[in-house]
Amino acid sequence: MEWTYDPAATGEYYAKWIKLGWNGTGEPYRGFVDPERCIIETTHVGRHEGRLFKAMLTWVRDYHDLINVQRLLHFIEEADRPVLGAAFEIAVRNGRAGPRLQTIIKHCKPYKTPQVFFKEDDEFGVYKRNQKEFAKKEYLKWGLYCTMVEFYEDAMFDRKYVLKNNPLLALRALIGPNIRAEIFFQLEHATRMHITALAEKLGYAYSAVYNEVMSMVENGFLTVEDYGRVKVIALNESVSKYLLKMPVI
Amino acid sequence: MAPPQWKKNILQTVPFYGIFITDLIIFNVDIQGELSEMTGKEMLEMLHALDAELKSPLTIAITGASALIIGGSISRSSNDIDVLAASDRLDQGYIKDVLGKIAVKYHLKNDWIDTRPTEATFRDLPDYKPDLQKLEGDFKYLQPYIISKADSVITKFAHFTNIRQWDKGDIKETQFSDDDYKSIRKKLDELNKKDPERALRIEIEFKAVKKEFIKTEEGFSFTNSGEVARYAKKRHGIILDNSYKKQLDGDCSNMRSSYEKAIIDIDRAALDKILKTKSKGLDNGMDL
Repeated sequence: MEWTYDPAATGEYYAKWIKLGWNGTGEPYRGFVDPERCIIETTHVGRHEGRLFKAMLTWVRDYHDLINVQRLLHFIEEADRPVLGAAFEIAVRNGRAGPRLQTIIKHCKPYKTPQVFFKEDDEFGVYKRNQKEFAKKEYLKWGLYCTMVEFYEDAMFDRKYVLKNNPLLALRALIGPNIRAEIFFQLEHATRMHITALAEKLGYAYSAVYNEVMSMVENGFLTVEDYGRVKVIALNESVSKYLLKMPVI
Repeated sequence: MAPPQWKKNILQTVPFYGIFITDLIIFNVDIQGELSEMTGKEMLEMLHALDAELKSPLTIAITGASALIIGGSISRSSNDIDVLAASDRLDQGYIKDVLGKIAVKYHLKNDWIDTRPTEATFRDLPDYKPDLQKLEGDFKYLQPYIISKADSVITKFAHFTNIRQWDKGDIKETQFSDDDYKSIRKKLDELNKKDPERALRIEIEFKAVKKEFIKTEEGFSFTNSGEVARYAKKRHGIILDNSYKKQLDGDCSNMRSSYEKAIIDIDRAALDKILKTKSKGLDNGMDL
């Protein structure tokens, strides 16, 4: 996928990763950070800003259990897939992620013609040559020349920070990184929604959202209201109260 | 416990050059809220906070990006202060407790004084002795030093198998004086005697970031192939033939190349020669 790098937007990604749990320079992002979108976008912007890539690498290694794999797969076409593949494989090898992330790795393919990972270079090509000369095998298999396999061992916030600052991730920690957590999160903020709008917002297929919603209605977590011919779903009041008081560590 | 001998060497035998950063030092500053990242000014404040808690003299040599940040060479902040050497152990006894206390008080990470660079630096540069510049200020027990800009270049590029994008950025942002360049030249010449490959690699990386370092012996920019040929012969024993020189002058006048690029290409050819000799050495001189 084509990606236009906007240096002015770099600060926004710093802020987003800080909100997600990186103890980097700057203030955390003020709005909601979509973790999957942030990962996808960092596969592009991280090639210009090494620290952002390193932050993502560390975050995926440490908080892989909070990643919604199905949702990430939905956006995967938008990623720099060789970079995503390399990052997830390195994170899996260096962390405790189980086979769950392999699904993502399987959807990534290497570059046919190898290229230097980081886009920035000096006018003499010295950096590019260095990266090619000492490229790590972890990247070579993805058609990338890069020497950096390192993590922010001392610059990641703990789970308490991550879950307190990211309610969606707190929900995923409780329920699991699945469609149900996404539905709860959306309805917690939108009050009432039509299933079509909900599916669009979540990035899931309509049928998947419909089936899950019906199951949640049957279990009493959601309510259905008729507005003429349109059925609108909402959180059950007591579930809503429970979510508001959901303890985080 | 007494510091290891190599730390003593650094702290005792290296000449000190005092610098004053009085405009950065603010006394009795109450830092509000979270402070996980430190600017140069805040690093100095933390060093003063450390000084206030010390009961006995402690000398530290600050390295890495922190040295450039405190010295005012780069504008970014950092969440730790990298220490290359200290006159006492920082990871035990009352000093450890003091560092922990400051970390809690000012919301810093536990190892805000980070000693990990020590191992990395001395692995790449055994027996390395940087020039230290004393940080002046109202310190009672603490004697903080920062490594010189020239040493920042050497230490940042010494680990050439993993030169990080932001390390290059730090050096790019740093302004070097003619004296700094002279110091870098001298240090590279010294390193060349022990580790010619590393010295040349550092030199090439630095030249790629700071073109101002590519100068003739007389200190001028290269303006013709004759000067480039003289450099190649004198510096690396490489003879440039006339056709190459003619081609180079043509390319430079047509803006297809530059004399700076030619110098880097020649350095790289010299490096290839070193690597070839090295691999022959490994194979007991046999061509494989």
